[in-house]
Amino acid sequence: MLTAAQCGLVACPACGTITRLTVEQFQNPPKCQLCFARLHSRKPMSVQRSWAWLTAGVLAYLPANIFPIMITTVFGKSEPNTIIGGFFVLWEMKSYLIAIVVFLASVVVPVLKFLAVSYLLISIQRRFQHSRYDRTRLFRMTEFIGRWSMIDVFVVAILAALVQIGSIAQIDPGIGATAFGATVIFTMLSALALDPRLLWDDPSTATGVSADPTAVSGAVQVATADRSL
Amino acid sequence: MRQQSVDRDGASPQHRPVVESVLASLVACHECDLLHRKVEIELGAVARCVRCSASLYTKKKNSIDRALAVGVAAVITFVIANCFPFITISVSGNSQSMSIVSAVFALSREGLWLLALLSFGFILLFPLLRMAGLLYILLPLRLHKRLPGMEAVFRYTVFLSPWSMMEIYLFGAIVAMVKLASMANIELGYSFWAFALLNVLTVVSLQMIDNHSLWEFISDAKKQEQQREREQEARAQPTHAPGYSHGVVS
Ligand SMILES: [Zn+2]
Ligand SMILES: [Zn+2]
Repeated sequence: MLTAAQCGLVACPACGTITRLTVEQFQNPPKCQLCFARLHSRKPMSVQRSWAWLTAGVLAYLPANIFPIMITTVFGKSEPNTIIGGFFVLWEMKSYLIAIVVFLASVVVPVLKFLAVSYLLISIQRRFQHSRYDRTRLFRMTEFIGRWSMIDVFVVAILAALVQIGSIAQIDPGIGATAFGATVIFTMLSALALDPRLLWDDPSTATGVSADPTAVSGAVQVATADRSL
Repeated sequence: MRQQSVDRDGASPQHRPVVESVLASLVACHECDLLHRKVEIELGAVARCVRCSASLYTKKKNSIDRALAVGVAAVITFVIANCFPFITISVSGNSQSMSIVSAVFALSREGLWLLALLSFGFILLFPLLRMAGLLYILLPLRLHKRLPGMEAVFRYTVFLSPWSMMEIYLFGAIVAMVKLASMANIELGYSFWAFALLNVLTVVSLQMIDNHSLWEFISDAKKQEQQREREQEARAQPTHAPGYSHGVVS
């Protein structure tokens, strides 16, 4: 089992084309021959950038919960709605399924995402050797599910556009919606900055040990892609 | 591991085709960097990484014609989805309708300019750029031509995919309707159905062709063009043709 980095190879982050690099080029990689994307063996400054975006996301999550995400005015009476308030309204309306979806998207997913990305980053920094497979799956789930939190922002936008019925009822977006949108975007950027390959990197093996084309062609065992539906 | 004493940059001109063909037969897992040798898989199968089970590549029918047809249909549906009302509500004789764009304007109304701008990107601009980008790749591939910057266009198309959130907007609309169901009469416009269809078409187009194969097509087209250029150069200067012959390496 060899990684591309151990063979002195790097896969293009965009198109996957494999390029052979010298040790010097690993430090300052050239562009991809096919698509001209900047090559990198591991995302540069991955852990630092990911921590930075995550911190920004957590900080934005506080105003997102304190300030109203929308303001409902019914017959001249204004009422601010917070994220958690929106869930209670749906629950009281007995729309349990939608209430749970909203609760998952706006509370459970962001909080779990903070915890999951923090755990992954700590596990990389502490060089955990165990459960790499499970941590990769956790990363994949985090990456997939995070964007769905945007649902709350779109609900506010649609309600604000729709409920403009003269003096009867009006819904306006609140500043909390911007903060919540920022949380979702920052945590998405945090997951994008995190390089999952770092979860598998073994500190004992250096990069570019056998930068040797004949080694890759046959002498070295390369795992064969598994066939599964 | 057998180590051979070939120096690091031992790829002399004769070796270069060998190196290139070896590299082209490899694929590195994008999630754990494990190298795999590509193997033929049956139609509909997915080749997965043996270590982390990330999807490496798939084998689909890869019909550029069909992908192109779905792509054009998606653009038309996108236009329709933006021409009609999305949802109309009525409360005691007063009615109000909205279009997809008006949700963006509703956010900017209360001074949430930044959020409005980003939402405009997520639900309209980025999905449209993605569709246009895909057509920009598929059309020349279908006509066996090359357009400038095809690779860069496709790179940005893939880059935009997590930021295209049409399906999330659709679910947002459903949640909003549930919230209003008890107090108003809700009517779905043509635009809503077009938008729902657009989401279906997006899923279908992902089934037609996958990124890995598209990159292979683009790479083949590029190689063919380079080959043609080399032949033209050789014809222009027949006496200075390169001295190595093809077919020596096996
Ligand atoms: Zn590339
Ligand atoms: Zn893998």
